[in-house]
Formats: sequence, structure tokens, C-alpha cells
Amino acid sequence: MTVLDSTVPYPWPYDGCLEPQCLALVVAGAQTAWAARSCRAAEVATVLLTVAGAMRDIGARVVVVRHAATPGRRSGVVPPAAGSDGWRLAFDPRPSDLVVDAVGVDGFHGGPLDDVLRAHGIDHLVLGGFGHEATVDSTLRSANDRGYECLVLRDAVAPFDEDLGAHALSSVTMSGGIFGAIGTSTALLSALATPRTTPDLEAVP
Amino acid sequence: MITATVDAEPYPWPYDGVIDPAHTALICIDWQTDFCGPGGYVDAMGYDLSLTRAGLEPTQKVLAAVRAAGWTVIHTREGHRPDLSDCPPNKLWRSKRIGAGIGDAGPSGRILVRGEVGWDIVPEVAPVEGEIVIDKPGKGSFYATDLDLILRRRGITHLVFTGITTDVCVHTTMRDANDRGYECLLLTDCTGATDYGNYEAALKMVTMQGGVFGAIAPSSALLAAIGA
Repeated sequence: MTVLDSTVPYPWPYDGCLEPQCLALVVAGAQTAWAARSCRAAEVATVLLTVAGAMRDIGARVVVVRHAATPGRRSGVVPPAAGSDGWRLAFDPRPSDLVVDAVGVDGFHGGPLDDVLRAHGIDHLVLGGFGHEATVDSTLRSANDRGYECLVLRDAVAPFDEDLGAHALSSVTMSGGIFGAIGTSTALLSALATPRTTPDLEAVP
Repeated sequence: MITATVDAEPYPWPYDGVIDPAHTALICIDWQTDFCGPGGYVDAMGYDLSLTRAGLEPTQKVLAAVRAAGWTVIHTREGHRPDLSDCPPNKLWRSKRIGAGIGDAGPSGRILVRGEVGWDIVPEVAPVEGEIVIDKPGKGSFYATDLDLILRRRGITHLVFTGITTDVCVHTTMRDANDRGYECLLLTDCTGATDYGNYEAALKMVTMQGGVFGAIAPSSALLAAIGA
């Protein structure tokens, strides 16, 4: 049983099952178009690299989501058009990482993210990325509806607007964790370094 | 067909300047007793019901106007099968942890279970004969439902949203619709959330980056545009 005791609104994950083979870091909006419009992008990029390194070290996957604009839709700057300068990755994947394409703001739409995660037996997601209120938040919502147990790292998300980003985090914690939980990279890294014990699935209050 | 636009933010909606009743639908999200009625799920969690009920009266006016104009009207309901076989275990665990367990007995029947009193749509904005009702197990209205199929079958390309709660089910559905290429408008006075700050932020998020999820406008602007 391993949980992060500093996460809100509950100790994450709900089942205490923090096993590397079930766990992935999902970096949403991992492209220059999103990063260029986000606050604290450089700082967040550093945190993402640290968390990604720790995940790789324990054998957990790092999943990098590359979003493209919906074809035929009224054009905007984000999501970037496939193949454009803004579409290029702002996060350098390693050979063991999984780069997944999506169509739209939600990392699950128009691409194989759900299939890829299920094929790898991953059902616990740690989320971070650029364009937080858009990419990370939409991907979190879809993941949660699909039953994934999600944690958003507050220091690994770069928002378009700090105030809106704070409210996006607040929404996650409503109703006992309506989309999952929020925590910090420090708490996650510390839990990943702790020896794991047998999960206790009977621990429903 | 109306060649007109709604005075909306951050751009006059819709982008193509055409509001055609044959291609436009009003989507009413989760106006259920569980979320805005006495004895429902949200009430059981201790939130202020006036915040989620605030949009009911303006939504009634919009419903009357778009029904008269011949729009498609679609209602959604969040709820689970009585055996909870479609309820993710973490969703069930979280609800029990805060004392409002999905499937547990509440003042309006079993919480968030299909067929119970609390799960039904409140009378103020109830569906009328011929309107479509979508039952969904999650926050979004597209995942694990036939909403996309029904919209495409009818040739619907433009969606106007009312409902609750702004930052959860309404936002998730609008985000999903936008990714699918639907042109979306959220009516600011026809929606509410359990936290007022999160309601305001959810509205602003729609307008980010030139309208990353579509546009927002008060219902009066829509009614003016369609001559109601």
C-alpha cells in the first residue's frame, strides 16, 4: 500500500497501487505552440524532465501527447496544424517513451492514447504539460471518465493564465475529487523512492 | 435559416454567420434533481443549491424560443445502471469517502442511479414529447453514449449549451464537442457551478486563445439574434 499523503482531496491513488507497470507520466500539450503561450514554461519543463527521469528509472512509462488541429475547423493558433512549426515537440522523448498523436485539445480524441495505455496495462496516470487549462485539463477529464486514476502535478503544469490554472486545479478537487487528485512532483518523487508493500484493496472507508 | 450572429465573446457566434434551425441543437446538460434539486447528490454533499439552480429560469425562456423555432433539443442525464456495472471503482470510492456514495440510499432514492427520483430531470426544464435524452455514465456526454451518432444523423453542426455544472459536465461536453468540430456556444446565465469562482473561470477558459472551445454569451444575446 503506497499513497501520497500530501495530495488533495484524498491520498492518491485511491487503491494504494503505485506499481511502475501500471503507472505513466502523461505530458499533454508537449509542443512549442502550447509552451510558447504558457506561463512558467521553462520552469515546468525542468520539473517534467525530473519526473520523467524518475519514472523511467523505476520502469514506468512516459507518454508524450502531440496534438493537431481538427481538420476543417475554424482555424486558431492552438491546437497547431499538423506539420507546422508549433506542432513540433517541446519535450524531448527517449526511446522508451511513447509519443501519441491526438486530434484536438483532448489527448484521447482522434488518436490511440486509450488503446496504447490499455495495451501496456497502465491505469494510473500522472499528468503534466503545457497549456494546462486546455490540454492537461481536457485529457484529465477524458481519462477520468474512462476510469483512469489521475494525479495532476501542480508544479508540472504551465497554464495560459495563472488564475484560470488555479481554478482548473480547484475544479479537480470538488465533490471529493471529481477528476482525481492534485499534488506536487516532490511528493510523487518521494513516494516513488519508497519501497512498496502489498496493495490493500479492502481499504474503502 | 438565419444569417445573423450572436453578440458573443471572443467572436460573434457562429463563425460562419449562419444559425440554421435544421443544423443547430440546444444541449441541456444534467438538469437533474441529483445536481439541482432538494435531496439530490449535490444537496447531500452540502453545496449551496441556489448556485446550480440559478440558470433554470433563463433556460426555460431559451427552451420556449428554440422549440418555437424548430431546433433539435437534447437533454443529458448522468447516472449509472442499478448494478453499478458502468461505474468506475475510483468514482465509487471517492463518492463513498465523502458520504454521498453512488448507489447508496438518499432522500431522492439511490444516488446517481438510473430510474431513481433524484436522477430525473427537474420539472422546470423537463423534456417534451419528441426530444432526445442521452444517458451517460461520465461527466462528458460523448464518451460511451450515442450523442455523436444522433447529431451527425440529423446533420447538426452547431451546438448551444445550458446546464450544470459549468466547470464539470458542461465544460467536458463542450470540450469534446469542439474537438469533434461542432461550433459551440455556452449561455452564461443558463449554467452554474458548485463554486462561483470556478463558474467564472470556466466561462473565461472558453474564450482563451481566440475561443479555444468556442464562445460564450448571455441568453438575451441569443434570443435577440434569433428574433425571439
